[in-house]
Amino acid sequence: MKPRWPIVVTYLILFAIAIPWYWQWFGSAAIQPVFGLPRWVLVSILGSVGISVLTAWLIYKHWPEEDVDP
Amino acid sequence: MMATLPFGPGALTFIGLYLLSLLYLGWRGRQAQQENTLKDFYLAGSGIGFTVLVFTLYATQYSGNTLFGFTGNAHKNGFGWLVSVHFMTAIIVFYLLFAPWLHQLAKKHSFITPADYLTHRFASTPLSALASVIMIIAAANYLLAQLIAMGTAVEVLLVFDVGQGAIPSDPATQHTAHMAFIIGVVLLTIIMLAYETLGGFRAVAWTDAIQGIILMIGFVILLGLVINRLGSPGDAIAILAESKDRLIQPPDTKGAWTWLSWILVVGIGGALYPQAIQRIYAANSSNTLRKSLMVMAFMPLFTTLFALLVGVIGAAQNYDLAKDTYILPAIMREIMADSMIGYCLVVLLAAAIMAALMSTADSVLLIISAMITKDLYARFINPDASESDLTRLGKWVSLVVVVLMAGLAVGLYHFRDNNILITLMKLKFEMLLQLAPGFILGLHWKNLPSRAVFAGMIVGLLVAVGLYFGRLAEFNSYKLTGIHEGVWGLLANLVVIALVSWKLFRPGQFAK
Repeated sequence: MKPRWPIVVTYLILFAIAIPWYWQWFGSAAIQPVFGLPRWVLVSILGSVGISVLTAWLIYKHWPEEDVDP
Repeated sequence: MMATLPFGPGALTFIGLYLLSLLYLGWRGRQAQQENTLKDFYLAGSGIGFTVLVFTLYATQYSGNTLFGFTGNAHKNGFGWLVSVHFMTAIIVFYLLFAPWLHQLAKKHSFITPADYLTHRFASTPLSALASVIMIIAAANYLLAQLIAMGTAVEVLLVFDVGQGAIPSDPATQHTAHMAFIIGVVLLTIIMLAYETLGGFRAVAWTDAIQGIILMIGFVILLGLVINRLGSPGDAIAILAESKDRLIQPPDTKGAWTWLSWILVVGIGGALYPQAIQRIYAANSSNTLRKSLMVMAFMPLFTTLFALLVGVIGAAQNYDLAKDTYILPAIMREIMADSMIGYCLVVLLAAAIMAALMSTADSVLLIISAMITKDLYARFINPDASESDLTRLGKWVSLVVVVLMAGLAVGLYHFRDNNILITLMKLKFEMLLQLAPGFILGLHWKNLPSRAVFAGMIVGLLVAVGLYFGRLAEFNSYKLTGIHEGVWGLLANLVVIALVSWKLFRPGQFAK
């Protein structure tokens, strides 16, 4: 199997959004409520939704069928 | 005992009927048996369709820990526990690296246990044996944790006192609690063993389907009831901002690394659970597996996220709890005292808790039995044993393993909260992670030598387990670095694989 680099990069971006490493620099804006949740939580959940959608799309569109037997 | 029992006869009848329905499915599973072979007993003849597969994957992956442990963790850590949504999603992402190909190979070569693939791929007896032993130890650890959780669930559902935030310490209630624990372990184990022995994987998967449906309904009901009774997440955040601000703050840099570590540990380790690999083998077609994993990709948003919100809303209520895991029983007690509808829904939720625990425990028990019977007995002790003899032996192995583990669970009642025991019982992902190169790299790197995988596995295990035991000797590398021991082990594992492969590399080997 050849890795599909655009997909790998998209996953990395989505996980980088979902893991809230960057919010410490946003001060109190990070915990401002948006739709009843702290902003950083909402963004992290959206990142997770993105990962789920990408995964489901990959499974739907690019489910591998090739034989890997040596 | 009845004086403290919060459930009436109607509720107990409902739970009794639910448990009887599991036995009925076990009996139907036996009737549906097509042949007396390992493949039929352990994989239902590899004939599991979409609906059953998706629910058995769901019910096996989301255990009692999701209900008690995850709500408890959210009660303690607030939105810091949002990482649970990501690591449960990551399991499906990591499946994509090996599940489609492993399923094809399993169909083609009639694999029964995870080690069958390793034997097929690497033809190395020490490698397959070590992998089997790792998986048996990890699964046995998991089974023991589920059995203890079964007893604890029955105990807290029956005798937890919301006013005290604990199980009352008077001798009479303590005695009742102990009895409830033993009854919980013994009764649920007997039912689980009965349907599993009757119908094998078919019974386990069918009961998982029922348990999965109840569990899914349970999560929706739980969040609905909690919002209705205790307020929305927005209300909780407003309270927490005033009183427990740290529960709504994002993690710092070290905390963010820990999130990444969690995603790797549970994402890879969860995908390599032997009972999960068994389900990859059992799907009746590649298309069935494909559709099931598509559905599973969204489950954390409706399960783990719900558990998180329940825990966070509970944290805003300022219950005075002896343990964080008591948040769910505390909320349930409050809701059931509120109205008749609340009471009925809590009864359904109690069934969902049992469903979550049993559906995970039965799957783990079955795969332990398969691995001991096929990977150890049939391979090293009696290679000439017939399929029917092995199937019969597998049922005895299940009986012996579950009796031992249930006995241990009951015997450890007074030591459940002991730090050493808790540390030992959590040791599973650290070990399972070291199997990742064999399964994932082995599928995609055709020249990967078995010696490299074996050496990597040994070094990875030594590093991961060695560091892990450091927790008992006041050297907690996880607390120091924020990275789980299993991840350090996996890194060492991969370095060794690279070095040994490079050493063994011969010019021209990769030319074709």
